[in-house]
Amino acid sequence: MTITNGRIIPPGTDNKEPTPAPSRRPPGIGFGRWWWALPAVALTLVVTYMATAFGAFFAFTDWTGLGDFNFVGFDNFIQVLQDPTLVGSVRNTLFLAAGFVVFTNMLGLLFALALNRTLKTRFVLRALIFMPVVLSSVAVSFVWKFIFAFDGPLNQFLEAVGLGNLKQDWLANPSLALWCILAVMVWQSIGFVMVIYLAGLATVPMELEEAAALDGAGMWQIFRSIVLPTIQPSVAIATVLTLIQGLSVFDQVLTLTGGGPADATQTLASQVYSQTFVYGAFGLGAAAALILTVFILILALIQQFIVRDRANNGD
Amino acid sequence: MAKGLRRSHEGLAFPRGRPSTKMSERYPVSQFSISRRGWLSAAATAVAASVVLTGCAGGSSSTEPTGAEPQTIRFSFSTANPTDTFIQDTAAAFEKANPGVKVELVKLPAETLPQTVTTQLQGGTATDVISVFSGQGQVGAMAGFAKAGLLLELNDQEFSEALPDSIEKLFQYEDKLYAVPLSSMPAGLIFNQAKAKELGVQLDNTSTFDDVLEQCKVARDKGVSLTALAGTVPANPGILAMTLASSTVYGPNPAWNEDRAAGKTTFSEEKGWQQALTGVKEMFDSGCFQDGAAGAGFDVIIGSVGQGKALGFFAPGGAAKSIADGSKGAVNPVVLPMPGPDATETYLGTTAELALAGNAKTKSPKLVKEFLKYFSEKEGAEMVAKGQGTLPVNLGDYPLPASYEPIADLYKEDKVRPLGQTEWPSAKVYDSLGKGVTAMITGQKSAEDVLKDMDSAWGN
Repeated sequence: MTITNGRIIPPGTDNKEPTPAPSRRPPGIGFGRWWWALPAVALTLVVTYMATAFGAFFAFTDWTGLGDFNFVGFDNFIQVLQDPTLVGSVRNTLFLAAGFVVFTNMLGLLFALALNRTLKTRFVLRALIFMPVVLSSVAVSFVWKFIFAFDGPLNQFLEAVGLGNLKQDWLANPSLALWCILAVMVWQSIGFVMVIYLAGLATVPMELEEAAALDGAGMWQIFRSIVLPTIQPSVAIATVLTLIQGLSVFDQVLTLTGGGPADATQTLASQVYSQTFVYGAFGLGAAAALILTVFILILALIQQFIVRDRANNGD
Repeated sequence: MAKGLRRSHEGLAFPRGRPSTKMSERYPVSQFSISRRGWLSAAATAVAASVVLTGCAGGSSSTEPTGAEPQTIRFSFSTANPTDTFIQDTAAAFEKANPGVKVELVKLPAETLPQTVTTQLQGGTATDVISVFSGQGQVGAMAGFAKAGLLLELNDQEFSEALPDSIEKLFQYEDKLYAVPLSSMPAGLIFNQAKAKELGVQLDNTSTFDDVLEQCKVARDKGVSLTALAGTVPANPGILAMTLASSTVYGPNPAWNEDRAAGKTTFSEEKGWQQALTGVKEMFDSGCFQDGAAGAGFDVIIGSVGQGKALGFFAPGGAAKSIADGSKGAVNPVVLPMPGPDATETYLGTTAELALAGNAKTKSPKLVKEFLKYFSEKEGAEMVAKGQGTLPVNLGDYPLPASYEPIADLYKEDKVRPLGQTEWPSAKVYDSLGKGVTAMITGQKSAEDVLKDMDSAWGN
């Protein structure tokens, strides 16, 4: 008996994929399928793509959200790239995105490896670690804002354990505030990444790991040579998703610091909001949004290319 | 209103007797195939659908009023304190004074009111009477709406007569009036005088700026802060700086904004602005604000004042009534004027920022004007002021509430100036000031940096 693609084939049986029966549908059905999709396609075109195209269009205008507008060419893009606050927000966005990808994936993978097998309490622990994922990011950020407050639990704890000299205004410290935002983002998303890696680890053949162990391979060698290549698709998915999430971070920034102190934690997404809805500069906001979209697109493509290349080498 | 709504719906409906066209009749199935022509048809259908939807959306708003106008109007508003009912009470009094008239109230969240009103006006779905900000620059400001032709012109003589000259231009666009003020709000230090006396902190309307700095230290020694500051909300450090600038900038030169607009001066060059911001820094250095002020939000202000950890905070005067109401009379703060630094004379900053305007597309323009007049005239204006804890823009013989006693002399001596930011050309200027004050506290920027940022945000 052999096992092929999950099918058990008894000995003596011809090991061939069953040939699908020729379609007997009348020719009209092919058209019918296409027609049924039309409302959804039309809605997607109108609601998503036309709206996006209009948004991109306004990036080349000085529209304030009211009345007429003038075409200003690439002025808005030049302003985004020349304004120190906006340039700073690009830098912060990249920092948060990079930090989010690295820390979330490292910790998520570590938790997945720790809770993959053997541990009896693994199901409870998985649920506990996944729990923050189901909470609203705004609610989570408010809780952390309370924790980071000057009179909050973190400073009280530091004082209680004799580290009162470390007590400070975490979210108002320009050099620490961004790290605080990153910590909250990572804390909330570890469970999400852990689940992706757990799904990947379920595909790693235990026999291979056992064989490698019998051959004298250490834990690191097993992980490097067997586990990691096998879970490569999970790595690709997790890193791409966390990169996109990191680049478009908004809720945590707005809730924890509002982009402050003095714009020290502004990101491209929070700038889009500020320019558009606080200052009424729709054109500038649209330009920042377009730049953010292009950023996400380019970085996601680069990342996918890198991951795909590694996967091919592993074949 | 019901009549108006019916008309509006009729505008959306297809004309009666229009032959119905089934999709299958127009596009027989057999005609389609997965070809270029098919895709073109699909795209055309999508575009046609969007055009129809767009046409429907705009149809109702373009309907011109005919005959007698509807006697029901809709009014969207918000209040800073959710439990306040002065708007509802004043609208009810208007209904009572005008039998047969109905005002439907639409309460909007205060945090998103400007964005909601902007979207509704632009989309043609705004109520007949809307809440706006006076002046220009910020989102939701009257001038932007008037420029786009979205507001009803208030061309009756009574409107301009009811407005004091000092603030009339805040409600005009190109010399035409488009909005009326809701009230006048004096801004200052909302101060828990009773608690301060208990702790031996001496501060009143005769105190100098140096006295304030001294009393900040006294309060610190007693384990409290003189004021609480919400550094993460730019409007709060912003109003602190503006109360100081009322004495250092707008007191000596009420036309400073006009000078700035004409390019005769800048924030960086103006000594008064440097004094105001240096004053803020001195207050911080003297421990006037609570620990962690730069990272605090409004919740911290409320918490600090409520728990007695801070004796006051900077805000428009209506906040004194909100606190008194909220504590059921247990705490009765007063509004103290903020003395100017460097021995400058003390002036009081006031704002008539909250305003009401009519929708240009209302089907009841006469009724809307009558409604707005009611809010501008003595009875309506005083009803709002009493309920909001503010003052009518025409003070007349209106008795000042007890909480305003420390600022009464400034009114008598004509040492009252409108807060300047409503005239600034962009919300970014005031935002730069608010954020800049926080940056000075955290050591990110100097007073000179902040003033340069404000000049840059002004745009010339």
